[in-house]
Amino acid sequence: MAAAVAAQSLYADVLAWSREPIAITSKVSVTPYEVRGEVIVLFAGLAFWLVHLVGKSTNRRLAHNWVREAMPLIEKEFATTAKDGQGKGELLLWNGGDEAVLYASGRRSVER
Amino acid sequence: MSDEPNRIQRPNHTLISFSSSRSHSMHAHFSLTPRHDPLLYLYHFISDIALATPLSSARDTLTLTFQLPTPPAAAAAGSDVFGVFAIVDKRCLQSLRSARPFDLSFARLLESNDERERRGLSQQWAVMSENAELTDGYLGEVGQKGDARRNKVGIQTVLNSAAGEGLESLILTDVPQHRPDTVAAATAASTTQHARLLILNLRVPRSAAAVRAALPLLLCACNIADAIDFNVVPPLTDRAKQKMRTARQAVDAAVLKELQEEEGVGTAAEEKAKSKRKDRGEMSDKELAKRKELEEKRARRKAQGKMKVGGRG
Repeated sequence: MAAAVAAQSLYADVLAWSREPIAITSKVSVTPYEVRGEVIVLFAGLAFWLVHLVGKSTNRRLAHNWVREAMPLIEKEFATTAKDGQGKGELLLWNGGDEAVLYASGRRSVER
Repeated sequence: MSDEPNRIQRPNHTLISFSSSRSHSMHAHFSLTPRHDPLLYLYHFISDIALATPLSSARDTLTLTFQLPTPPAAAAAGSDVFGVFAIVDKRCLQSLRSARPFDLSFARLLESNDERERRGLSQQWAVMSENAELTDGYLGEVGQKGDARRNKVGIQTVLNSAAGEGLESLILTDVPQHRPDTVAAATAASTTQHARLLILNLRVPRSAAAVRAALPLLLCACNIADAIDFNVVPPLTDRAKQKMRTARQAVDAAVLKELQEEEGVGTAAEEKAKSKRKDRGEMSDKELAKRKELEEKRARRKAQGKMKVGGRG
């Protein structure tokens, strides 16, 4: 208890000083050169994000393209095929941006 | 979870939806280039260069897996043999062998180009078969004798057409893809009946027209499943089955022995370490006992001394 009181009194001056408004007496200016690191990181992050979006949509397009074209044949061959909630479109289970699985079931000569 | 009853939405990257509880009849597995992850893409690019792989490890592939039914009699026997048979695009042979090191080790590569051509297959394809009867069954016998079966099963018709460009490999197998890695798994693998699988590894076409051109491959897979089920592909003779079973049992025994030795070395080392620990424990027990004895002696002497002092007083 005594130690806590001592610590409070030790930091009291510093805390009081930190609460005081800092008077800026000179003109503050930041040149682009000074924040070049931040700018590089920001643009790298944006580029990564854009590549991610484009890559992900490309992968989805490839998979959905195949499923859309193959679905009539799959539906003809199998009793149960992948469908979404409204019975439209295809059912693909996505695991990340580069893996997807489609299931179909119910066909003679194929184990159920 | 979303409002739709058969759709599960997980944050960011996964969408699972389902409409059937039967999840293993036929499944199409897309394994695409990690375009969404530039760092992973770079990793694949560098590792492919470093390992000098003939095919990029990050390419767009689609694997169609059909689980074929096991006849009840065969299932009851528990040790029925279906056989390993594969038709592989020669450009993908090396990568396929490294991807399926165990089951394809049972199949022998058909080296005679002439024989392959007389079965109606072009130079593009390599044939791997566990037994000659399997080759005759799926591709028809050499020459005109096998024409009727070739027409019925129709593998050559599809592979020699434009659809063939989309196929990397067609595999029929009843052996696990990888060698068992524990004694328990090896013991279980040698006694259980494995699922009969028909696997098609396809290239994912870019355009809708290319997808339509590759669709006969899906139809071909269904035809093969039917041909097996309706005995258009004749079942293996007992002699061939016996031969394959003997070879597999020999491999299973060798694998089991190897694993037992590996695990034996591991367990011997573990036992040694255990005995060392035990020795250390015993040593410390002895020390503790000695220390305890000494302390008791000291306490006894002190007590005797006090009694003597008390006696004088």
